[in-house]
Order: sequence, then structure tokens, then C-alpha cells
Amino acid sequence: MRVSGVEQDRQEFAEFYAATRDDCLRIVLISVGDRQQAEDLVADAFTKAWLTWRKMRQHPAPQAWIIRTALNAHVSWWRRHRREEPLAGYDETAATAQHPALDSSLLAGLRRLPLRQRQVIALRVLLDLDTATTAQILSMPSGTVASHLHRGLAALRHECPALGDQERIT
Amino acid sequence: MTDEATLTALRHRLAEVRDSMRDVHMTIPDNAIFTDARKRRTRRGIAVALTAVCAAIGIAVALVLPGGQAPAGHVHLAAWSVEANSDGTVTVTIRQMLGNPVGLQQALAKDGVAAVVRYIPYKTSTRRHHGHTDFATYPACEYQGGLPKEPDSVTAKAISGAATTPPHLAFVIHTSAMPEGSVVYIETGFVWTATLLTNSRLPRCVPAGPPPGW
Repeated sequence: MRVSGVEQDRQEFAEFYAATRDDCLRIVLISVGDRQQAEDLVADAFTKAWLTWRKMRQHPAPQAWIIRTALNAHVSWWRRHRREEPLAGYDETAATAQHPALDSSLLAGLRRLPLRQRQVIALRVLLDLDTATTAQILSMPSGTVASHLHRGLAALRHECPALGDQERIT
Repeated sequence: MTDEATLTALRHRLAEVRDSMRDVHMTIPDNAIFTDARKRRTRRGIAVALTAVCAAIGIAVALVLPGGQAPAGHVHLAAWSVEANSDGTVTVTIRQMLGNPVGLQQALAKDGVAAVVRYIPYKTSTRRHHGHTDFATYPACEYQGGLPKEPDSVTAKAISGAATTPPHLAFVIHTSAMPEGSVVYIETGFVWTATLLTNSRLPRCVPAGPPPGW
């Protein structure tokens, strides 16, 4: 049976979505901390990817693009909402939305990093991409990736001394 | 502790975190992504169509309504205005620094006034310039003996009522009193002036605006 171009695109995207969505969600969740928000950000990034799928399918690391887009959207969301006053009981809801694994000083430190450093760590550490690919996806020189990584790691070492202890043990 | 060691430790720790999140899954089905994308496409299409309709209406109104098209000789902008008077003179008023000096030059040309309009900011006349004082007109040019001006008596007949209080310059050009080959030289920025130059002696190296990067 012949499959039309649009249908083929749809099928291809559906396969990509099924294969990568959970990984993307977990990585964004580590960076964002809120389960519901992470899911919304990832879904939004996938929607943008589908809108430009013909171009996106050529991307060297589409999963990394999804993560970068979701993290960028998170910063935009934060800029829009930073002056809002939380409603009474908001913290209660946020607590239930948080995964138990996310409650650590390391992740809190990670979330406090500037966006670029967080993006570099997400791509280099969580997606295990090399410096050159990370640089290509974030549209920055390799030297800048290395510099963001260095600063991010220095900040995390400062925030979470246990990181050093673990290394000494292993 | 080196970056490499921290990186390894971090990779370890985050891998543990990821492993402990095996129960975290996207609950949004792919159909919801397709539906959302379709809605966005529709919204974008409507926005583009509305923009096109508004632009078309704007153009139609500008062309049809009287006064929609500025008559030649009457140009009024926030930065400057040029008015061709019934007695053959042209009134020029400059109210702001000229972001687009060529625009004023072209408006004057339409009224039959040969003019050279320059915006030369202060820093352009003082930086990267060997052997010139702060009052050098333009660093790229050698103005030995100053600008090639027409005699004062000739200039006074051709340009009258020059009121200069930067950033404001207003004057009237008497085109009939301009000698053959002369040009009105208008400069704003560090110096605000309107004078009459001898065209043949005008340095060609004076660019319309400051060089890129200034």
C-alpha cells in the first residue's frame, strides 16, 4: 500500500516522539523541577518540532533540539510569571508535583545555574553529546561550550561538596 | 578536583537520578501534539491573512484619500521638513539629528536644490584622526584651508535666516541666487551649519554618514 508524504511524515514523527519523549521529559524535569510544567514544556517543544518536521528531520540531534527548545521556553515562562504572586496553597500543589528523586542539593544547584550553563550540562552530561555537537546545537563556538561547562561544574562543586567526595570514593 | 573528575561524578549522580525516574512518562499522546500543531497552523494562517488584509486596506486608503500622497516639495518628517514656497524659495527645518541624511538630500533635489547633507557625530570628528583638532570636519578627508565655500556675500543671498540652536537648524534657500555649480552644504552632528560650497571643489571623500561601527 502506498503511503502519502504527509502520512509518512506523521508516522516518522510519531516514531520519533515515542522513542524520545520520556528521555526528554526526564532531562527537562531534572532542570525544571516541576513535573507538570516539564511535561507541558516538552509537549510544546515537540509541537514546534512537528510544525517544522521537514527541516527538523535533517537535524543532527533532534532530541537535543527538543531539550534546548523546552529549556528556552522555561526561561520565557519564568520571565512572564516572575512578578506574579502565588496563590495560597500553591506550595502544596507544587510539592505533590515533584518527584522524590528530584529532592537533592545537587539538582537544586543545577536549577540555579544560568540557562546556557544548564543547557550545556543537559546536553553534555545527560544526553552525553560531545562538545562539537553541543556547540552546533546551541549555536555557539566549542570554546564557549567548554567555558560554560567549566563555570557550571565549578558552581556545582561549590553548591554540592558531596560531588567531590563521591569522586574520591569511586 | 578537575573538571573531568567533576564531570564523571556528575554523570554518575545524574544517571542515578534518571534511573530512579523510570516511572516518569509523558502522558500526552502524539495525537494531542498533532491537534495542537494544527490549531497553531490555523491561528498563524488567520494572523497572516489579517495582516495582509490590514496592509491592503492601509495602502488603498493612502492612495485613494486626498493628502495620502505627499505632494512634491512638501515633506514633513519628525526629524526635518522641506517646503517649496510659491516665490521659488525652499524652507528647510531640521529638528533632530539626521539618521538618514540622504533622505533630506533627495527631498531637496526634487525641489531643484543641489545639496550635500551630512551627519557627522562628535566622536567621528575626534577619534582615529591624526593631526586634526576636535574641529576637523571629517577624519577621512583633508580640508586644507577649510571647506570650499562660496564668498560670504554670495552665500548671504542664497541662504537666509539661518537660525541655529543645536539640535535645531532653520533656513530659506533662494535657488535663483545660487551660482551655477554651487551646492548647499548642510551638516548636523558636532557642527550644525548650512552654507554654500563650490561644487567643483567639494571633496568627494565625504561620505553621507559615519563609517560603520561608529
